[in-house]
Amino acid sequence: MLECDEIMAEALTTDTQRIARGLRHGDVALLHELVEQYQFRLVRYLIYLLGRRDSVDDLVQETWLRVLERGRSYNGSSRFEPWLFTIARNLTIDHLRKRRNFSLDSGNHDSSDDPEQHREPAFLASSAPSPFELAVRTEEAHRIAHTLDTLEPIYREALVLRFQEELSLQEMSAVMGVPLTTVSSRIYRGLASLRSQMEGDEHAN
Amino acid sequence: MQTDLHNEMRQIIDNSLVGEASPEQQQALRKHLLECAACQKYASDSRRAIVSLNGFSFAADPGLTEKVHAALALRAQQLQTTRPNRKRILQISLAALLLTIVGSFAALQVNGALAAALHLPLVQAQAGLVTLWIAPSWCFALLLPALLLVSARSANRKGQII
Repeated sequence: MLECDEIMAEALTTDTQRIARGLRHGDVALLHELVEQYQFRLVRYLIYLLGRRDSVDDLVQETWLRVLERGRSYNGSSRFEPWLFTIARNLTIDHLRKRRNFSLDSGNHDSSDDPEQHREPAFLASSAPSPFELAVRTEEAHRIAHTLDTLEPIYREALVLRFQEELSLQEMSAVMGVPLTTVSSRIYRGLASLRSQMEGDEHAN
Repeated sequence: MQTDLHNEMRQIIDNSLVGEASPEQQQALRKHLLECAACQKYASDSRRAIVSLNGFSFAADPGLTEKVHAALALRAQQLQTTRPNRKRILQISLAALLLTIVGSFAALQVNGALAAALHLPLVQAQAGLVTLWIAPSWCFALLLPALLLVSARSANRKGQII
């Protein structure tokens, strides 16, 4: 098993190095390949981050353009996904700040139990259908769609990065720009909200 | 206290789901779950919550993907025309260096004639030649690549479309 892990690690390193080389040279063919490979995951991440579908398309395009322009800053020493999501996250924060004085998160939020401190402002609420409700495919997902909709962006983000993208805690810390303890805390809070929904539905039934 | 034990086990369940539980903790948890229905339910609800996240399908719009491909191709073309041509910069720098070497050699050869024409001691003429001509030439030749690169990048930044 150890040998298998080593082989996989080596393959991963080779792949990340290939991507780094290609990005350094502005290899458009490689970029097209990356778009095909990561587009769906990027869209999903941005939907979880924003909690809405509008603006996602623009942010996806901007993210890939930024990947092309800043390709030299990716050195291949870590996986491509965390770097990609970091770019997307930073663009999302800039996008939200331009619209209004809204912050996705701040260093003080996790130490406070006051949800009002980081609740999404009412003017960002959309009358459009929730992207989670539109994307439901199973009964279980239907149960948690509303919870995801109302969950704070930072906890939604923690859930998608850990349980969908399967990033390590260290990778998540790099993407989110917070300490490991904060990453864990956000995952627990997100999970607790989903679990409450599961328990609540069972009581109702 | 019983409540403390359950809270501790639930914390281990959370840690385990996140991938933070130590082997000892996992072993203690496995043993506890054999006897505790409440914690079994907690673990089960947590796992179901995680699995339920797989029940969403966020399909990327094919039109968006095509749009991204087109935007990337256009942007790459723009960058190609404005990016510093490193090969050209290297050629110019090497040419300048060669000229400096030849020029310095030639200058030292005519040093004697120059000293005679200016009625200066040979050493003094040589010192003046090195200070006023050879040294600045070498400095310029060695700094030229950096100057060209900075100039090209500055022009690139001005030409970038935001």
